[in-house]
Amino acid sequence: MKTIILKNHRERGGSLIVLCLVTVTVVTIAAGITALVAQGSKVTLSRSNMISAQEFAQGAAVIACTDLNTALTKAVGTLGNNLQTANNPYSRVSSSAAGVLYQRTIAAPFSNQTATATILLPNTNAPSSAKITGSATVGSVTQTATVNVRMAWGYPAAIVSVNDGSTDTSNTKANGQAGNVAIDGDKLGPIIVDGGSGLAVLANGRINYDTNYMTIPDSSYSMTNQGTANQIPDYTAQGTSNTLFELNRFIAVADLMTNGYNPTTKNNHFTNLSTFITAAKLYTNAFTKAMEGVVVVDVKMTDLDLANLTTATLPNGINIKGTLLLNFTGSGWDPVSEKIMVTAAINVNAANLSKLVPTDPSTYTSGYPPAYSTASRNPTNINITSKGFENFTASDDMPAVIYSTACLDIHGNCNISGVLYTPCYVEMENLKDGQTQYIKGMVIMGSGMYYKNTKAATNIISYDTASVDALATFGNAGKQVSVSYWEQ
Amino acid sequence: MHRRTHFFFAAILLITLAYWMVQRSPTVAVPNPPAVLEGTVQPVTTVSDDERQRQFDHLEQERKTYADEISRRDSLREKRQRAGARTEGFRKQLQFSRSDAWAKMIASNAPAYQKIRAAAAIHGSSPCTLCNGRGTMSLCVLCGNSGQCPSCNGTGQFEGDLCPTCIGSGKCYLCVGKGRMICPFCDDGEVGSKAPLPPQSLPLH
Repeated sequence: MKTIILKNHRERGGSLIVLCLVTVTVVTIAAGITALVAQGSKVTLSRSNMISAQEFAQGAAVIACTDLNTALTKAVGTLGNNLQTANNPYSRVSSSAAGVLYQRTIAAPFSNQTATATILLPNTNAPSSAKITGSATVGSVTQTATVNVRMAWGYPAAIVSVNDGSTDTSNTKANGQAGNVAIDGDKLGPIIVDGGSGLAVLANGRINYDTNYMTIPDSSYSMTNQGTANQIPDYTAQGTSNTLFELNRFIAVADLMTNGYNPTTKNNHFTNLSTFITAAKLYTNAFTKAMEGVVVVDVKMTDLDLANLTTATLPNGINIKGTLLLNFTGSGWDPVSEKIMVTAAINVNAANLSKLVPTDPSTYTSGYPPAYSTASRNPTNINITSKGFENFTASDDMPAVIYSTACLDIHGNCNISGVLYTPCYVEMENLKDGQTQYIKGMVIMGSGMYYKNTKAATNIISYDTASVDALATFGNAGKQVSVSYWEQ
Repeated sequence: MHRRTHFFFAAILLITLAYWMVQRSPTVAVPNPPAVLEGTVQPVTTVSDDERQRQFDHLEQERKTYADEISRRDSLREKRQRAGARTEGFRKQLQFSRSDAWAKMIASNAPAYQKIRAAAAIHGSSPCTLCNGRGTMSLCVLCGNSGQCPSCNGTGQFEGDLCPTCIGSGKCYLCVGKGRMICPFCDDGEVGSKAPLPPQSLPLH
């Protein structure tokens, strides 16, 4: 008889179970630790790649911003064409309602890395905004960075002078005519240049003023920029591609705007001062009290009314909502010495100055943008494509006063909201006690400025970014790429 | 060993393997490569070595061009400053050399000016008849109506540097190159009763 001892089997089985449990525990812990270490290094690597990719993507977006700015500030060609013909050219990859998409692959200045940049431009000749995306892949991680930019006015200042000027330090008229900004004030009336969010004066030449009567902080102006990295480009070469405004585009609008008060052409283009004076008088009694839209006046040296823009002839002044373009035509004019003196009040987009306190910039109101009585007076509603020009758009800032080759010498009251531009010389002289010369916007000129108030009168030029940023310049001249916001 | 034991160990190994596999799958959310704009363009991530080199070369060239431009502007600026420092001296020489012509011009217009001045004394101001009525005369005493700087004859250069009189513009500083100077008798065509008398010597500015 053979006896089987079952108890021993049970003991051996129990040991095996314990061994198994221990083994499972050890293996699981070992696997877990290994997995944790591997996971940690994977996370670290992914994180590192993500950060690198993000930085490369942002770098690509910034480089694309620079590329866009280079294309924008190029004197010739459309923006899209300039991108495609740049030294680092972009490819036009698609076009849709959203705009035209340009793309390039960026290798420099990255080390062993490439990134892709795309620029989405609205489908117009002079886009005012763009969407830029940089994209980079590091390891298996791809990141993108998107920045929305706008093409805004690049020289924010109440007075912008692009002339090289001279080295003279006097604040005389001759010094202004030499291309500097000469500010001539005394103890009587305030003569104010308010930079607001920009500078008071930005000039390639000198800014000269009487230190006995004026105290201007160094930080409020920038002068003698000629020959420096901050030199303002000369946007006043009229008749070339390097000009701030395409005058014929404005003339085209005036030609297509009806104006029953114009006795000859019946539109907003006056071919002599006589018809303009006639209409300006009639508008005093009109419903709108002001001419509206783009008003162009041709001024010839032989015009018999050159000396008739006076308070006697126009006791209620020249009143315009929109843009006044004095088009000096024919021979005899020159950028500095030839001028027409105006003592009649010049009111273009006039601001309500009833609460104006000269020493308080918060009371510097603006009449920009103008409110037109009918839609047909708004330049954006005038189709000028038939004349070979691109239409103005609702986002365009229209200048208030432009004059071509000569000088509009303002001697009387003025109340102008918007930009006053001339490729020539600016003279603002307040010649009577009690007068107010007020500009809310910007004054930009090509041949210097003489700004005078030695009377018991008020002179104010105040910078207003709202009337400047989207200025309807020729091919975006004077604008620079500035960041609106980054997308996360 | 018993068959059950083998089965048991095999099961443990399978469980461990399964656990390992689970652990291997990524748990970190990595963004998918995005389409750049509504799927219209996929990022291009490679460029040829030649293109890479070209871009680096261009970048270097841009840096050099910018540095050259700044250097050129600096040089021009220094020249202007050098010339500007000598302007007053040069113009004083011209003032002296043209003093007779200036005095003659003032004297010849003096009678007419006195009449205008007398009228201005009554009315406060009077239109100037000695110029074009807008403050510009029909002549320039300094350049003889040529519009050219008398020191450099319009070249803008003087002894290998910028002309100190015109700071390199080549234009007569008195008439800004037009051959018609600002009227010394009036201000924008008006003679005021309290206006200063015309300068007795040729202006320096």
